[in-house]
Amino acid sequence: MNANRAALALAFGVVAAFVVTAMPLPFWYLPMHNVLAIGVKPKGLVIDYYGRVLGVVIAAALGFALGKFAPPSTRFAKLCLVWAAFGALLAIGLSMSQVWNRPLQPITLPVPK
Amino acid sequence: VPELFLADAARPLLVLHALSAMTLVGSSLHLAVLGALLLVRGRAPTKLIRVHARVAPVAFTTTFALGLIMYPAFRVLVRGVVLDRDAPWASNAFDFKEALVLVGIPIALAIFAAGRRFELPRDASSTTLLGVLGIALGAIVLVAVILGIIVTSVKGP
Repeated sequence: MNANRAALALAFGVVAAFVVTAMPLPFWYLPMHNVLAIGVKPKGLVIDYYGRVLGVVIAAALGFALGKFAPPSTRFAKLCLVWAAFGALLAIGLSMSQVWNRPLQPITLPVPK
Repeated sequence: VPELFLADAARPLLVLHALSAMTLVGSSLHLAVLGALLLVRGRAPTKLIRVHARVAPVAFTTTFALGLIMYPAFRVLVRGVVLDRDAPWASNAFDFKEALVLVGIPIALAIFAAGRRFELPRDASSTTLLGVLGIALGAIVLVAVILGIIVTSVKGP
């Protein structure tokens, strides 16, 4: 049943979006060196967004796969929808609180001689 | 200056990103209206739902992928050097947009899964799910596009 697979993919993915917003996965991209790193967060300028995206995509795909075994009921899809709405509100609210008036450190690029 | 991934192609990629976003806005807002019809009346043109349940997720994926590809150049040359110094509010708005779009990934996937072969009355059990998701995707895309335009116009008039 496509609705159940869709609903479970949604619930898993949105909850993952909240989790990776609260705590980025240990998967980093260093744009200045053009390398990926896994493990402890490296020093300097790092991008954690690719790790976050990966986490959400994997979780949503897992939910989609597990949805095959979910009970074929409208109530189940609605429960997933409510769960996802709750997760989305948490993720968006947390993200807003993280960036609100956040102080930032500009980069100074080396000047070519 | 460090060698950034695809920095030379950043401007054409930004144009493609914007063109893809235009398609996404059009399709996802159609889907939002169809979703509202599904929720209010319990029915809507199913052929249109099937079309936009395919177009919107594909456009979402394309727009998102293009954004990811040019992100390193943006992060260093635009955000790191300019926005973080001159307009930190814009950097924060962009990061909020990132988080918002992250929530959009499972929504787009679910719309594709539930709506691409949508048929009434066979899929009557999916109407609430599809209606809510259509409205949610439309809202997320609209806010993301508005924030994107604001951020890219920081150095504009």
